Amino acid sequence: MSRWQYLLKRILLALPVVLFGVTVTFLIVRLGPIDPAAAILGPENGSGAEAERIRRQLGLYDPLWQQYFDYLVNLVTLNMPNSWVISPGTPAFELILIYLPRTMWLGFWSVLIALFVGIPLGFYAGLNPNTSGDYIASFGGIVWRAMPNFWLAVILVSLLAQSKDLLGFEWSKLLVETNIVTPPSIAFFNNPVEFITNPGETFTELLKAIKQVAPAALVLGSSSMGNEMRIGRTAVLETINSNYVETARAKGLSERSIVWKHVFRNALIPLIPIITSEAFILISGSVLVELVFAINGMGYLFLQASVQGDLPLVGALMYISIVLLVSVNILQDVLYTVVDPRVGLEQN
Amino acid sequence: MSQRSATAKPVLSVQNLQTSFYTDKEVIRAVDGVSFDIYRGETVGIVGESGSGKSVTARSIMGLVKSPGRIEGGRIEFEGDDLTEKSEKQWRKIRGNGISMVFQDPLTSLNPVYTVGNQIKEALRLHQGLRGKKATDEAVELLEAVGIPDARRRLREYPHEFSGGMRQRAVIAMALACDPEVLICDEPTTALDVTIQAQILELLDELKEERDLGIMFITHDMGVIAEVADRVNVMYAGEMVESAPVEELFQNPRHPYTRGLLKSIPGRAGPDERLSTIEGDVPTPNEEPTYCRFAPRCPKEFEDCNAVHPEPVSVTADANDHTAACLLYPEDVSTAEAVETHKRGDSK
Repeated sequence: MSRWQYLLKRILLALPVVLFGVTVTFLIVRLGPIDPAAAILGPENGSGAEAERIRRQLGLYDPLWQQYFDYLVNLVTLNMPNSWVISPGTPAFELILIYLPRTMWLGFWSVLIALFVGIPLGFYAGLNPNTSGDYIASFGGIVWRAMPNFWLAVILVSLLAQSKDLLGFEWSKLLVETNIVTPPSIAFFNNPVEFITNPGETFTELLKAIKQVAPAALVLGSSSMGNEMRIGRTAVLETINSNYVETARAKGLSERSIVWKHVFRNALIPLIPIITSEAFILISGSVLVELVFAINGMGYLFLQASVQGDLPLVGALMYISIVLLVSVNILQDVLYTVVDPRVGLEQN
Repeated sequence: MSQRSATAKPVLSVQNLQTSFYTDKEVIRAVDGVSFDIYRGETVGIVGESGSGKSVTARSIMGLVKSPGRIEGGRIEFEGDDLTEKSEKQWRKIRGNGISMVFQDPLTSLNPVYTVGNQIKEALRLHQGLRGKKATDEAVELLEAVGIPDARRRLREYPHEFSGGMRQRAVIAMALACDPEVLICDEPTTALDVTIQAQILELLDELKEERDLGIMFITHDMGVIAEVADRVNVMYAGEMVESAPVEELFQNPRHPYTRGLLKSIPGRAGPDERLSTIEGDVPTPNEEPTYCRFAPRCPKEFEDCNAVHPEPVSVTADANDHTAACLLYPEDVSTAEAVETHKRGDSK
């Protein structure tokens, strides 16, 4: 089986998972105790003619199977009707297009922090076990891992807000002027051509957008960073003491090529599932961190939509998350087959 | 069986090698004053129980003793140089090139994420600068030399696609890649089943003849030693207790330890006899030897054994090339005189 056939097979197998996920979402929202009409009108006005009218308008009196069927068709065609409660009059997917990029932008940077700080630190610690460098890195990893997001977020915001007094420089005026808590302004993504036609201004915009999410990304990525550091350290230690590394040494290879060729790739194998699952968590957003830093992203939207029974929005959001999760899983399995030849493409 | 000619010089000569491990509590003298020579076209067997210092001897010769261990004294002469004085970089040029090593477990001695060909060619490139097609051709030749059919296709396969015996052949091919003078085999057949074991031993014998190799063969299996070795060194608690040509050793074992070892081979005793064993364990050699380390387990122990450290001496005045480190020898003088010889620290 070629890698492409394998990929196709995995995608086909993912379809039932997505269907199952959106079905459960539908059942929970529609069969649960939340009444969208009450959410729109306010808790006191849950009954009466107005509520009746809204229910009829939203199609809540249609047979359940018909509602379910409409819901599925709308999801597949990406043509979800307007949001019911959060922002009536705006189609659900349009709302997501506003909120999702902010979360992705934040998630992207927090994944990068975890990847490019956590893993190198872990590898460094594993290659120099029981040295002071290892102790500092390992201890740091545990501390980062242990600090809860919501706490770290609040502390960081208050630290940055008083940075002039506490740190000696003003964070909000550093490099470019930005607010400390704000949704990132990433409008420049709509016009990527501007990077070439108008580089100066666009790069300032880019810098601004990075600076706006940097503290949030640091907080969000911190626990993953700690995790990946710890596991990276263990993976390197396990690999460096393995017999094939000894064989490679006996061949006369230099320590550098042993580390880069023989240790690195093997140590990545246990890290793949950690990286991908952490990446999914980061990209799919965090309510707490988004709230503290006023990112106004998916996490915030998700929370609001679910507590208010906004079925089109919740359905669309769940659909996006499930597709994202399934894709990350497929990516993980494909990465496995790339890094580790023992993971076969055949089923037996 | 090759005979040493009087004028031949040993290709590898180990003299009074001392390797110790420094732990927080104590210093473990894993190899304590071991001396032996290896000539071209000769297999020198090293036998002993677990913990007797066989593998540390091998690793010392390869310069692969890991911290907290280090070579403390003695000489390892190879091609006129003393290896113990070499820097790590100089030693790397010899590893895999002049002296190669085959490890115990073929299942884990090959890196699972690279093809067998890649790992053989790695050594060829490192020491001989071969690349591309030349390296491939050479690798094919090597695999064929160790009896792997369809070598060109096999080069592109991964270790997990090889059987255990095939993997050990591949490891041997890798060790032979740069035409070494000396091949160190650290229990190369222990992890294999008996038929495969016989094949590998035969292969090593053929390669020795063809390439005029000096082989140092480490094992705890007396049966294997009888099959492959031209000369046997028996190790106990970091010391060489007896050394003799293989036939002599099996016919006339002198040291009580060697006798015990030979008696404990199943099959040599009659069907109704109880298999004899040597009571107790190998002691951890953690202090200066001022007594015979085997005395607590020795059936022939007498008073002086706990006060005088035995040196390797010729077993009889006219014995040809047969030494034992036991106060009972030389045999042709009275025990009191023999003890005096050992007290003076005479060697041979």
